[in-house]
Amino acid sequence: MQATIENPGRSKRLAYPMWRTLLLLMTAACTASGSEVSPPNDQFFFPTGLAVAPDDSVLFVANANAELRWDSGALEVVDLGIVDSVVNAWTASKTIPDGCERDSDHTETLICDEAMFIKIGAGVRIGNFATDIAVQDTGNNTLRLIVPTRGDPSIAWADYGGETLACNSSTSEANALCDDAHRLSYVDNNPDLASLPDEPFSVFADSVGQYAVVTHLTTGAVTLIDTPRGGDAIVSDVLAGVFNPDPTTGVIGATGVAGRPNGASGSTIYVGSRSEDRIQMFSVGRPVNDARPFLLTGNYFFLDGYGNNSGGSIDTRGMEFSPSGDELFLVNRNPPSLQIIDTSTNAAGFPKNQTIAATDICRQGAQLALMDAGAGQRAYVTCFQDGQLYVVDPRGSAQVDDIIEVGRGPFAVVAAPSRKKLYVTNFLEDTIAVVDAAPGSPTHDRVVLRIGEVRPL
Amino acid sequence: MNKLIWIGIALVAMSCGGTTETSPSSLNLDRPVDIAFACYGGLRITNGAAATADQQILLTAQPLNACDIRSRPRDANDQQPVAPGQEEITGATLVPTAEYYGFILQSSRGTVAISHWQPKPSSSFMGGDVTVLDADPLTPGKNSISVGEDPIAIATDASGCKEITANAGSCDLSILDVTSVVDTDLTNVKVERQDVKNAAGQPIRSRPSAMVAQRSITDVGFACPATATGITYIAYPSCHAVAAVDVATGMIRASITYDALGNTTVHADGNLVCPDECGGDALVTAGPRPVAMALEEDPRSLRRALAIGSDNLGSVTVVDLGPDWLPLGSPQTYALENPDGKLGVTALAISPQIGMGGSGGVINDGTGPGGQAQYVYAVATDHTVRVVDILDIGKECDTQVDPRLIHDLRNVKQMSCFVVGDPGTPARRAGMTSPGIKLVGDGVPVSVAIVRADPLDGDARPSPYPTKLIGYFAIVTSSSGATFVVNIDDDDFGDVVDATNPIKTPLPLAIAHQLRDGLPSRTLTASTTGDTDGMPICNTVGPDPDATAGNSGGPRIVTAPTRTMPSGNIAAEKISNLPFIHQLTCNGSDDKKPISELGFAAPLAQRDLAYPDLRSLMADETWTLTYEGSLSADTSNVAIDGPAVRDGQLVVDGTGMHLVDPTRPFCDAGVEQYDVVQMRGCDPVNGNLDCPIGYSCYTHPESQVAGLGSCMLTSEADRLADACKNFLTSLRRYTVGRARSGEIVLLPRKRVLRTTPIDGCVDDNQCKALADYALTNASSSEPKDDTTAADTHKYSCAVDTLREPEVGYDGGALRRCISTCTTTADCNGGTVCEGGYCMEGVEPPQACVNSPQRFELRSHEAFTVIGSRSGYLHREIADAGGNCVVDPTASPLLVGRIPLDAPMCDPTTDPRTGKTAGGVFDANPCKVAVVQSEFEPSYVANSCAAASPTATLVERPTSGILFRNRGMTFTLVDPTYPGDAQCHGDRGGTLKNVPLVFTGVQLSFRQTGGFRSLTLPIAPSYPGRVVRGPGQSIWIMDEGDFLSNTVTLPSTRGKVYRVEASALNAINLLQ
Repeated sequence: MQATIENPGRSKRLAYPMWRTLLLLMTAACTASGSEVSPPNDQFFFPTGLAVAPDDSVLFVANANAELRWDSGALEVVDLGIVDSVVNAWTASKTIPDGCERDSDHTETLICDEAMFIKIGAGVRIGNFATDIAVQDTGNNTLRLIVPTRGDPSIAWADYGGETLACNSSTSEANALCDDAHRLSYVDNNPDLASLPDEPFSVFADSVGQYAVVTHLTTGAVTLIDTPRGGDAIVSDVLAGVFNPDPTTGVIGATGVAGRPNGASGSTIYVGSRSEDRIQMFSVGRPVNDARPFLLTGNYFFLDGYGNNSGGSIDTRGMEFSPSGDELFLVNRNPPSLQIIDTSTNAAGFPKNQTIAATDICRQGAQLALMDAGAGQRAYVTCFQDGQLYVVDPRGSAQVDDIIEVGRGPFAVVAAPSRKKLYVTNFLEDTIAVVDAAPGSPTHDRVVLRIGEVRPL
Repeated sequence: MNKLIWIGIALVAMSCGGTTETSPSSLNLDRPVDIAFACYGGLRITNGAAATADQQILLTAQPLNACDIRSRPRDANDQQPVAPGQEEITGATLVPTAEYYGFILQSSRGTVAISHWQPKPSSSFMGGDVTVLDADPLTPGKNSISVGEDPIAIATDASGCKEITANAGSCDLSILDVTSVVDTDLTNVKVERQDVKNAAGQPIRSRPSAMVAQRSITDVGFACPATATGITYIAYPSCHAVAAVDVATGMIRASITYDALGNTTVHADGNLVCPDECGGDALVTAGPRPVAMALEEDPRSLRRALAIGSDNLGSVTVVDLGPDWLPLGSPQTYALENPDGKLGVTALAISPQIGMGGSGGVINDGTGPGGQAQYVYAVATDHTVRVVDILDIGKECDTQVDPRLIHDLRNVKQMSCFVVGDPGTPARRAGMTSPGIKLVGDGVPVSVAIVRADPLDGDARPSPYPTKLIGYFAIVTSSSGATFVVNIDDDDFGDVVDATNPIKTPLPLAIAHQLRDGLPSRTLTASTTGDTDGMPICNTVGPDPDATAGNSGGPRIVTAPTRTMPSGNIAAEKISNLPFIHQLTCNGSDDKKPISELGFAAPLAQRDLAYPDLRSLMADETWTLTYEGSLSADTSNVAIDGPAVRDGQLVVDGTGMHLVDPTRPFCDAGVEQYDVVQMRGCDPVNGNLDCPIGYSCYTHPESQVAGLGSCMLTSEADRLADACKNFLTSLRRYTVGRARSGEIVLLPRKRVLRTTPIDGCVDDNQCKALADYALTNASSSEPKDDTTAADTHKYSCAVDTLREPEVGYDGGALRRCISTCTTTADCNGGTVCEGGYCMEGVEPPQACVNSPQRFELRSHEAFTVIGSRSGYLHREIADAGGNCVVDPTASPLLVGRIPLDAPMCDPTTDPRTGKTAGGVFDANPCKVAVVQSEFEPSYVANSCAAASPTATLVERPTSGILFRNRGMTFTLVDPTYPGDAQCHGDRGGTLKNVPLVFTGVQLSFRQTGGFRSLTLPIAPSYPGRVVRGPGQSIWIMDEGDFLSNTVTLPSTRGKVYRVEASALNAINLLQ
C-alpha cells in the first residue's frame, strides 16, 4: 500500500487547480514499479519539517517529495553528533572531509553530502507534501513523531526508540512505508465518522497531555490527535470553522499552533489564522469514561498591537512559546512582523495575551525557533522568499539583530541549544543549513555547514 | 517538465495562502529607520569675517543653521533671510541658495537614501514639498548609498558636512561626505569607515545600539573640514557603556559606564574596553544595557543634557555636558517606579526648559505660572511613557493622577509634576498601575520626540482646537501604527478647572503629560447659544456623533436609555415601572421635560459630576445593564472579557459538581460566589454541529426548555435518557459555590420566586400572594380589572442555603420564596422536583455530562454593567491558592454590578470623588434617596381612562442605587416597585421592597464624547522612530512593510512622513 496514491477516492480535495494538474501528471507519470520509485534513503528531497530530539542527539527531517519524483515522502534521521564533529573540525582547522567542499560563494560554509549524516535505514516513508514535524516524548527514551502530510491528507506518526523510526507493524524492513494505523485519515480511524480536513499544516505535540494538535491551512479547522504513551495515535476530534474567512479574499485557514505549558493537564493551545487577526486558545478535555478526548474552545484575542493602523494584522505563521510560557512569539505575514505577546499570567491567574513588542521582518516569513545560546534569547525566523534567516533580539522593544543568508526556500528552523546550532530546511535546494549561533564564535550567525547537494536552479 | 516549473509549483505549495499583493510602483525606500538632516548649497566663505565681494563662493555642505535661517518668513521685500555673511553684496556674485537634505538610513540594506526640500516656513508646507533623490541616476530606479553593515543610527556631525552612521553589523562607523553625495559628480561619493578606538588605540568591536551627536555649529561661512568633527555618543549595550567619541579621529574622549547594580560613572578618558561582538570570541557579561539616548541643548539656558536609558534598568541617567559637549561632573540617576524590578527604557526624548502653564495662545516660557521645568520622556518596557522632571524636582512624575482628586487644585507647578511616591500626590486612576502615560488601544509605545509648536500667523482655527498645537508636545509612535500627541505644556488651554464652567476645562486636557484629545467643541452646551450664556434647551441630545464631519462636544448619552427584555414576563404597559437611569427636570426655553442625568441637556454641574474623568471614558461605546446578565458581551470581533459562552468539562464526584476549564479563566472573568452558571448544552437547531464528532445533540422528549439539548455519545444517548432525565429536562442553571481560577464548584439551584422582597419574605402566605402578583405582571389589563389566574404552585418562605446568605428585614437570615413540590408536575416548566424543591439545576450522574459543556457565567441578583469597549469591570484576582477573591488594593471604581439593594450612601461623601468626610471611599454602589423626574400617566377620576393631558410631569421621591465606575457616575432608580392599585403606573400598591425585574431585563444607552486621543493623520505600518526635524517638523520613520490588497495603493517597504507640528494636516510622504 502506498501512502499517497493508494486510493484516488480518498485523496484530498485540492485547493488549487495547480494541485489538480500536479496530481494528474503524477498519476499519469508514476507507472514504474514500487522499488523503482521508492525515495532514496540518503538524500533530502524538498525538505520541509524539522524537529530535534529533546537530547539534541538527532534531527528528524521530513522530505515533502514536492516534485513527486518518488512514490512517497520520507522521514529521515540525521546524526547531530556527526554534524558537530564535521563542523567543529571545519571551523577549528578548516578540515574538509571526503564528500565535502568549501562553498565558493560563502567561504565560511562547508557543503557536504547528506549521506554522511543521515542514519541510513533509520527513516520511514510517509505521504507526500509533509509540512511539519512535532516530537512527543513518550518516556523511556522513546519519542513519537507526528507529521501532517498534505498530499493525502493524513497525519503520519512514527515511533523512535533511539535508533530507527517505526511506523509499520507488519514489517521491520528499513525505510518501510507507514501502514494504515500510522497514517491517520479519519476520526477514530473510522471512515463513517469523518475524514481529516484538507491541508493539515502545522502540528504541536504535548508530551504531558499526550496529544497533538494540527491546523488546517484551507479550512480553518483544528484537529486533535490523541497519542497516549504505549498506545496508537488516533484522530480524536476535529473542530471545523474555527476561523472566519477573510472578507476580501474569502481565504480561510488555521496556520500556526503552539502550546503554553499549563501544568499536569498539558498545555493551553494557541492557534493562529491565515484569514483573521485572531489567536484562538484551546485546551483538551479528557472524559472520565475514557471516551476520546476533545478540544475545548477557550478565550481568543486579536493581534491589534501591530499594524492595526494600516489594515490589520493577519496571516499568522510560525508560533513558539518561550520556555517559561510567558511569551508567545509569532510570525505574521501581513504586515510582515515578528510579534511578541505577553502570555504571563495576570493577578487573576490568566494569560495577559497582550502585545509587548514587535519588529518588522522579511516578507513571507515561515517558521521560527527560539534559543538562548548564551547571550540571551533570540528568535530565528525563516524567510522563504528571501532565502534568509532573521535573528531578532526580543529584549526591550525587539529589533532585528542579524540577517543570515541560508539558502533557497528556507522553511523550517529548529534549534539544538546544547550544540548552539540552528538547522534550517532549504526547501528549494534540497539542503539543510547548519547555523552557528554560539556567541563569540568567529562564525557566529553564519551558515557553517550545508548538508546536501544544492539543487541547481 | 522543466525543473523550474516544478519548483514554481512547489513554491506555491509551500507558500499558498500568501497575501495578495499589488505590484508596487517604483519604491524609493526600503525600511527606513532613522534620518539626519543637512544643508547644502551656496556658501560664501567668510571665515567669520565680514562679507566681501572677493570672498570665494562654493556649493558645499554647511551648518544646518544656514537653512534654518533661510526657512524664516521672508521680509517685506519677499527676500529670503540668510545667515550673516551670505547677504547679497552689490556688484558681487549672488550666493546661490542652500537647501535641506534628509539622509534616510535603511538598516536592513545598509544604505542611505536622500531626500530634499526647500527651506521655507513650516506654515508653507502643504504636501509634495519633500522628494527622494536618486544617488545614482545611471542605474534604474532611485538609488541609495551603501554605508555599512546593519547601521542602526545616523547623525550629522558638528560641521554639518558629514553624516555618521553607527554600524551594528561591523561594529564601526561610516562617515559620508555630504557634499560628495549631493553635488553633481556621481563618481565621487565618499564613504569612509572608521573604527571607534579607546585610549590605547584598540578598536571597540562592540555592537552599537544608539547614537546621538552634538548639534552642528551655528556659525555659517566656513569651508567644510577634511574630517568629520564634533562629539557623538554611542551606546554599547554589551559593554554596559556609552562612549563620547571624537568623530574626527574615532577616539573615545570620555565614557559613562554602568556597574552591575546600575550605578553610573563618568570617565573623563578613553579607557574603555568592550567585548568583541564582531568576530571576536569575548562573551558578553550581564549588566545594564544602554540602548536609548537623547541629547538636547536648551535654547534659553544653553544647558546641554544627555539622557541614557537601558532596556533592563528602571532608571534614566542624565549627564550634563560642557561647552565641549563632554560630560560635566557626575551623572544624575532618576529612578522610575519599578515594582517588579523588570522595568527598562527603550527610547528617550528631552524637552527644552519650559515655562509651564499659560493659556493665552502664545508660548510664554519666561512667564509660565507653573515655573520652569524640563522633562525626560522615556518609553518604558511596561508599555507606558514615563516622565521625569530633570530640573528642580528631579523625580519621576505621575501622569495618572485621578482628576477627581485634583479638581479644585490651582497650583500649576504641582499639577505639572505630581511626584511619584510623594505623600501629597493623589491616587491614580482606577486600574492604572504605572505612573506612565498609557496609550489608547493595544499598541505599545515605540519612540518619542518632543516638539515646540508656535502659533501660526492668521490661524483661523478656534481656540482651543485639537489640532491647533501651541506649546510643547511629545509625539509618541506605537507598534499599532498610530502616532499620538501628548500635551506637555499646552499654551492654548486652561491650566486649572474653570469653576464657572467646569466642562470647559476637563483636567485631562489641561494638565501636563496627558494624551491630547481629538474631539473639538468640548464646551458645547444645551443652550440657545451653544455656550453658557444662552437659555437652556431641553429637546437636544447634542451633536450627531456619526456626522460626516466627525463627532464633537462633551461626554453624553446619545439618546435616552432603552429597555429590552425577554418576552412573556411583563406587559408592555408595565415596562416603564422597571428600574431606570435617574432623570432630572429640564426647564428650558423650548420645553419642560424629564431628561437623563447623563444627557447633553443636563445642567453643567451635573454633566461635570456624571463624567468626572474624561480620560477614563471611552470615545464612544454602548453600555448595557442586564439583570443577572452575562459577565461578557464579547463578539466575534471583540475580545475583552472572554467568550460569553464558554467550553468546559463537568466532573461530578463525591465532593460535588465541578466545572473545569484548564485555561483557568474564571477569576479573570470576574465570577463571584453565588453567581449563576447557565449550562448551554447544544442547540438542536444546529443538528450535531455543537458537539464533537461521534456525539449527538440529544433533546429529552420531556424537556420543556427550548433550544437546550445535550451532547451525548451517539451510542449512549438513548441508554442514558432515563438516568439523566432530571438534568436533561431542567433549565440547567446552577449557583457558584466556590470559584477558583480553573474550576467552579456548582451548587444545585432551587427555583426562587423573582418577586421575593429584597429584604426577604415574611411567610408562605406572602409568597403565595407575591407569586400571584408575579403572574399579573404579564397582564395588560388594568390592575383593577385584572383576572389573571392565581399561581398554582407552592412556595415556602425559607432560607435558601444554596444562595448568598444575606440579612433579612428582621435582622435574621434572609428568607426567600422557594418553590416546593412533591413531583415534577408540581413545578414550573424547566424545573424538576428533587428533595421537595423545584430545581433549576440538579447534580447529574457523571455519565450525563461526559461531553464538553458549553456554559455562560452570569451575575446574581444584580445588573451586570458592560461597556462595549470597556467590558465588564471587576476586582477579582486569584489568591495564592487559586481562589477568586476581591483584590483589596484595587480601586472601588472597578465595578460592574448594580444590585437591587446596597448599603446606604454616606451623606458626607463628596459627589465627585466618592470619598467620605473620613477620607475613605464610600460604598460603591450605595443606596441613595433621589427625586425622579418623569411623566406620570393621568387618569380620569375613578377610572383608568386617559385624562387630558395623558401624562403629567412629576418629581417623585424614590430610592436609587448610586453607581460609580472609572469614567461615569449615575443612579439607577426604582430598584423595586410598589405595584399599582387601580391603573397602570399609579404606584398605588402596597408592596414593599418587591422587585419587578427578572433575569434578562436590560437597560442600554450609547455614551459618546469620551476621550478620543489625537493621532497624526497618517497610517504607517510600524513607525519605529520619530525624529524632530528642522522647523520643529515631525519625521515618522515607518520601517514596516505595507502589503496592499487594493489596486489604488501600492505595497511599500516602509515610508517616511514629515508632519508640521503647527499644522498636523500638512503631510509629506516618501515611500
